[in-house]
Amino acid sequence: MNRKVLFIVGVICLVVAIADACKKGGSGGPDGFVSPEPYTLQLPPGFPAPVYDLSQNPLTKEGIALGRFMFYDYRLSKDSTVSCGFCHQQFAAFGHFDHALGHGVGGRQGNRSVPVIFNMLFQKEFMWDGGVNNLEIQPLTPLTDPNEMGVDLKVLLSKMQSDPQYRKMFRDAYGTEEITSQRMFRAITQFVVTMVSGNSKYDSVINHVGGASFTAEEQAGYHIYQQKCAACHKEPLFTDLSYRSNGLPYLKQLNDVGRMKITGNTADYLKFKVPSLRNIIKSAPYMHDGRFFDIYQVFDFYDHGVEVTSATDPLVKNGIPLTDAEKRQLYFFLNTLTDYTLIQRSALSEVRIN
Amino acid sequence: MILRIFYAWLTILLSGTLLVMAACSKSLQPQANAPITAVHIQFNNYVGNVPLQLNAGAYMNTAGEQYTVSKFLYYVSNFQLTDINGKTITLPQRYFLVDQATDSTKKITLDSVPVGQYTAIKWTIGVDSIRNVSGVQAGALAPENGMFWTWNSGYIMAKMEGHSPQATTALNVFLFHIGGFKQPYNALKTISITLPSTLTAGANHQAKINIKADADKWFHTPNTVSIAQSSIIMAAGVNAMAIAENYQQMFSVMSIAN
Repeated sequence: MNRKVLFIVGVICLVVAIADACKKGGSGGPDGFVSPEPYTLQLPPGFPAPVYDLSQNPLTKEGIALGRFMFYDYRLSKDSTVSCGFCHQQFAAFGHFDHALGHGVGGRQGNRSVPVIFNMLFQKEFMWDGGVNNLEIQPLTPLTDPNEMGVDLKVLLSKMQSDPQYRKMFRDAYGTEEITSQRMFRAITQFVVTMVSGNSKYDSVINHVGGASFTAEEQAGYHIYQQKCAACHKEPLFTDLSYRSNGLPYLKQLNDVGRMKITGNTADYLKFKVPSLRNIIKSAPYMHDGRFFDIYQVFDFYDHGVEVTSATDPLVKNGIPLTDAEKRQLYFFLNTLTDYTLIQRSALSEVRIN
Repeated sequence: MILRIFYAWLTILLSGTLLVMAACSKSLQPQANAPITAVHIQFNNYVGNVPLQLNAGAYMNTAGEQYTVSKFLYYVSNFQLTDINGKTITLPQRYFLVDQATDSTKKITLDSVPVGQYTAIKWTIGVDSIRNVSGVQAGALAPENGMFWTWNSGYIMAKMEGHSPQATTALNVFLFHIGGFKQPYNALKTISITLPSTLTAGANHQAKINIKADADKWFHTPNTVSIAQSSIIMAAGVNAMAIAENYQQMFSVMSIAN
């Protein structure tokens, strides 16, 4: 009898073992490879559904770590001087502190300001003119633009393939050491996707977290915002993601026609994407060409600096009158949009590249 | 008695194991309805009646402009075959980038062709719109192939670069980067060719179609394109559409080897 029981157990074990071997054979993992650990992204309450399709690029701890490493690796640029994080600084909400225009390898300068890059997974188009149609391919532009990182992608891929640390990190994230552009861009995307900003004082007040409340001046500023700004800088992202001409005087030195360059449509002349007001106090300078270094200059511009052309948005055609008291209140409100969990989160901070 | 129980269990064990193994192997091998084979297509790039020679060959277009070619590349995808009964067979979606500078790219293999006889072939020159908006692609569509616009997302469907004394640029360079996947400037073009003789895709041999691509057609039929008038085409638009309509006419079958 005992022998029989032993035998049955043996049979079951064997069948299970074969079935298991079969399963493993199907997944094709190399020896010793441990599957990357899935990562669940926490989205702020009340936010829209992500636009970026995470199912084609499931987040993993190792994928995000690889993306973060590449984001801060200056060796990705043509002359190993600038990284993504060089222009997209965490303390400036991933914009470029104190720089009107983006600059890159060899001291070259572009003709637009560095856009902040948080809440990217909620956007369907990228860049000031919306010319890039998928978050994954967005890094292609700064990487290859001669005024930014200026790299030849083929050269970069072979350089990375010859680096043991990159081979290991790609293996950890994807199972094999093969370094392809698709893997590379998807990993950068994974890291960028984690730059979510929805935990400011404003959010705590709106979501009734921990008894948070606006001061009288913040509250007054919120009302001004609702009356005078919210039509374009729409909650909860604080942008409606549309393209508008806000009446900013055209600069012939830069000759930037805005979205018209993308669509070829004269109706899009001088139109740029409405930027988010989240973290705005931390992300000066302002406008697509970074011409304003102080938020009060922006208030003054809307109050009396709008230059009307045929493309100027009807909402700002007559300017946005703001008294000194209103500007002050608006400033205090905008301060509540600073998300310290974005600009101080250690998981997003610079990694040391040896 | 013990021995009989042992044999009974052994039978169950073996059949169970076999069942698992059968299920296992089945899941690894897709069931094929009809036998399939491969068909090769060799693209032979010409200018008029002479084989295209990068940098070396000197040519003249219908506008009377002299030119040389330094780069000549195009995407081919979405192949379809029509069999002798008139039935259209859509082959699995594959993308190939034919590059004059790399011989291996000029011979492509359609590897899932049902065994049969075929009278016509159809494909697209370019990359369909869905691939233009779906993020970073791999293989022939990988961005490092230099056939993707970064500033205004989308594939360059076909590219010709060269020199011409009539080019208005500083170094007499002309650059024709033809793309655009959105209306009204969708440059994706379909090529439909009736084969001069029946193509026999047999189980034991691989047939080959020799196709000629005449680069000179970029400059004429139906639209006359002048390098002097448009030396640089690097965006979707009217000029790109004119060339796309021209290169849609550049393919012909030279021969079929069954």
